[in-house]
Amino acid sequence: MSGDSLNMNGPYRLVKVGFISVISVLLFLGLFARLWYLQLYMGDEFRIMSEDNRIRFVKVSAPRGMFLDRHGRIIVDNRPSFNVKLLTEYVEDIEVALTEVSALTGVDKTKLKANLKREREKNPKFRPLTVVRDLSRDNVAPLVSRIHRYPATELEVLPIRNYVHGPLAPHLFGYLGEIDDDDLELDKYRGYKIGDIIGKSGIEEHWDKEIRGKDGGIQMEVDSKGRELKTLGRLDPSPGNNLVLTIDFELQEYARRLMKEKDHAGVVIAINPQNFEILAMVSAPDFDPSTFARGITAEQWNALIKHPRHPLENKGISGQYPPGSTYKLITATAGLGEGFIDVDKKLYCPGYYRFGGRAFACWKSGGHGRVKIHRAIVESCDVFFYQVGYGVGIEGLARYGGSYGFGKLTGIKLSNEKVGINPSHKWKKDYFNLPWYPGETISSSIGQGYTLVTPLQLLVAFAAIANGGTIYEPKIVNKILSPEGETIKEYKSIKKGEVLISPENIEILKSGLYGVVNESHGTGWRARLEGRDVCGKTGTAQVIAGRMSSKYLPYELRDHAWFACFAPLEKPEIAVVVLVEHGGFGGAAAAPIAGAVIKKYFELKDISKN
Amino acid sequence: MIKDAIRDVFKTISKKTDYVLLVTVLIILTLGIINLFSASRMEEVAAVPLYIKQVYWAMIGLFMMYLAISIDIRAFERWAYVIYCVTIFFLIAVLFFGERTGGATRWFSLGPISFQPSEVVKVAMILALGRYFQKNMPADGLRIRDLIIPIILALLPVILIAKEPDLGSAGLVVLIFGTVLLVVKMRTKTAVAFILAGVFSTVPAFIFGWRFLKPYQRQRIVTFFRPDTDPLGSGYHIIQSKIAVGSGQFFGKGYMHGTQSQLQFLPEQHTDFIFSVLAEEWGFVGSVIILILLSIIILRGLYIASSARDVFGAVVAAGLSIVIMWQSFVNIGMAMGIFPVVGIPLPFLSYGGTSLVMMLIGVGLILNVNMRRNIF
Repeated sequence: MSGDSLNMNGPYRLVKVGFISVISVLLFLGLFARLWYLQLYMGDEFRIMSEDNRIRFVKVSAPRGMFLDRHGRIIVDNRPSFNVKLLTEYVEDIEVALTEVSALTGVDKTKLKANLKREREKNPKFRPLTVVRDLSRDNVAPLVSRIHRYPATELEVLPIRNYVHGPLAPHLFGYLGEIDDDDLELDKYRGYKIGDIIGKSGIEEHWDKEIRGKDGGIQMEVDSKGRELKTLGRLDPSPGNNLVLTIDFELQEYARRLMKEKDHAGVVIAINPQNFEILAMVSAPDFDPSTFARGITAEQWNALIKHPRHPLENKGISGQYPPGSTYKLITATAGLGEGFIDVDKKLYCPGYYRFGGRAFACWKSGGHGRVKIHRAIVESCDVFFYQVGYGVGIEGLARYGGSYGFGKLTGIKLSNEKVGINPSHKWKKDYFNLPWYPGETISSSIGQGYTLVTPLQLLVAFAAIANGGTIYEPKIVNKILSPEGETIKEYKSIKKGEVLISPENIEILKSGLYGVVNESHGTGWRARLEGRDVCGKTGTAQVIAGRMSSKYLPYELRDHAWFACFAPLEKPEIAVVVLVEHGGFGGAAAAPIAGAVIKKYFELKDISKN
Repeated sequence: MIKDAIRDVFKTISKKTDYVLLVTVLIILTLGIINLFSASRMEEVAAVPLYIKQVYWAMIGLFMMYLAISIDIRAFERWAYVIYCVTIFFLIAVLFFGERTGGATRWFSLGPISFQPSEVVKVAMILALGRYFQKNMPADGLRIRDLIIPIILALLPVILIAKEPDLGSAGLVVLIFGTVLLVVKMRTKTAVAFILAGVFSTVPAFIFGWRFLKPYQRQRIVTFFRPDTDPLGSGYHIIQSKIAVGSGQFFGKGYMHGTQSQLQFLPEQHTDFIFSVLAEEWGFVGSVIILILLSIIILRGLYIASSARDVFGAVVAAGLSIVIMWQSFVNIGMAMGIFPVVGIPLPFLSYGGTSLVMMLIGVGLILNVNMRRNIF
């Protein structure tokens, strides 16, 4: 292999390193000469520059991008917050310095000490430490006029979040906080530095890179006491990009108020069923994101996370509930799709359904008699759907449920979305290592078995029926705008799939859902609106088994109330889901809220038309 | 078991190992980690400090170096094109799946570790060039047409790296390639054409290339010549780095006592400006020691190249020494303000896993060439 001709010539004749060795020696001599010049010849000068005169770089934070609603109205922007920082490296006596700061700002000295201690723990040495955060406006003016006398004290003006309309949609917006050490390790946060403020949830988190902007800074020469000698340069921060959300601020606020006035815990989500743009998304109770903007205290944080009704959780995507009778939409789709029933097929409801030695009751104890699918949906006949569900089996229910998006993420761009449960033989085998029992299919067919959905998943299912069977990814941000207002990115609707249902069967279901609200004996009559043809389905999800009226139960054991709907019947424009935790009967607690939201939607539409 | 393995390691290494090169590398590696501890101490508070990560990388690198020594150098020759193609594949993939940081995609993330294909390609290119020259070198030197394939071998990574964009690394590859050609024998005609092409392409390349530069890249070149025009951007880096180096004076300010570095006036002080930290804290004495150690490594590598048994070994040993030479010169020159800020790591001293591991593999290959020079 070692070639004869090559060995004869020898590599040393073909590859010569003498010249290159000389070059490398010369290059290093050049470096040596430069080192000599900088360190020995100019060394004294540079030593003075490094010791006596320091060039300090003060960061100027970039304002985060604004949030606008779908009509371009500003709902979140920034306001200046005044912080007082202490440059501990220039402080000789910390006690004296704190007394001075206390006198300047009117903030209690013990509080300053506590702040200083906390800041010391999380900052590297030599960093200016924030001792007063978000100084009230009254104290700012006297401070500004006197602060130059205290070189070790620095006034920092930071842009912080300003919620123009109060806590309008805190779960959507998300809150901000300092980046954690663990986050810094993540690839997602490559390039971030300790002390950076990042979005911790919601839109602030998901679009952080887009809206954070670029920090600027002032470079100044200071003397050894830290006094500014002159400004050497200035780099203006560039503000972040603005986001145009899909929500309508008035509809959002209206829905939020409805839940708040009734002191409900639960969810209201409104969506445009044609493209799945979210018009409003309320999770109640909520929190005030401005407490985070000002710097949340440990007590405030603990109060939020220990609250029994979980105000920090966005229940619309993180709460998982049994769907109750709203699930009959899936059972009906499966029954029609598998040919087990058709529009004229009658099933008999005596008020109970006997299976395996056990009687499964209908909510109406006298029974509904012989009913077709239309009446079964309108009056929410349990026995009808027991039979349909048993007829198609759990695998059938799982397949159709899956096509509606149950058991899958909707893909909304918010963190902490839950998948719910779309039970099947395989699921039960995987989770409990147990076979599926036929009796479980029966309770599953009215949404009382293992099935769990998030309110958004349920809304997606109803919105798909409304638009003819197409599922899109729910959208919360329409556009990214540059600070100058140019469109940087426009989010298109992303199609996720089709529901396994024929157009004829959709019409059967729609007419049933229309009947629920608009026909006599319909369970959802409280959502009725003149001329708007609301179509929907009530649901009452049991928290404990039994047929006891919720009135007699303690709050946390009461049933969850559901109402999922869309309007109008022809060319639906809005779909709404309402969940009232422990609200009792869905028709009574949830339907009126859904009706009111739809009414408001059309009112707003009429106003903007005129 | 383990004892046997250790004995194995020593057996492989002790056999005609060039201890001058090996020991020099180990010394500089140790100094690098000590210096990195000081440089990164203030910089960030992370779960695993940078210098610890660098220790992990050094261990991985030393293991890889051991592998590079123990595998027969002929295997590298046989697989040179395959290694090259795989690396090129990664360079293409990084453009599509790489991590975006600061407007450029240079990194891959594989779980917790990330790696930079542009660091790997330098070694891969040298291997491929070595293989080509081994097979295709006429006894009386290269003709012009013998240069076509080497130029393609170099141009491919240059274009891909420039596309990331990382013009500094792309330029470095051009520089390395050009220098490697200086060590192989050419016919007079070829040499003249090569030099003329080099001279005449510089001016148009500069004018033409200027239009393709991103604004920040133009800014860097402008500020190199006039740092005061941009005291906050790259001009700031140059000014602060010069202050750091200069203020070190003869004996330095002492370990972990460099004010410039500890107060973080230096940007990127654990990677691009690692030398400034060293020069500030260890002064002229420490800096010259580092220069001498680097020179020993380079010259020793070139010496090994001159006594290699075949063209492949000679080109590989010389080429890798050239990589170390240019990277050291460009990085240290940058820290002292005689070269624009281009983001080239300093071999063995800058923080960075891929760079360190590849440098140690490179040293392993040079040692390998030395060890097998008499095996026919």
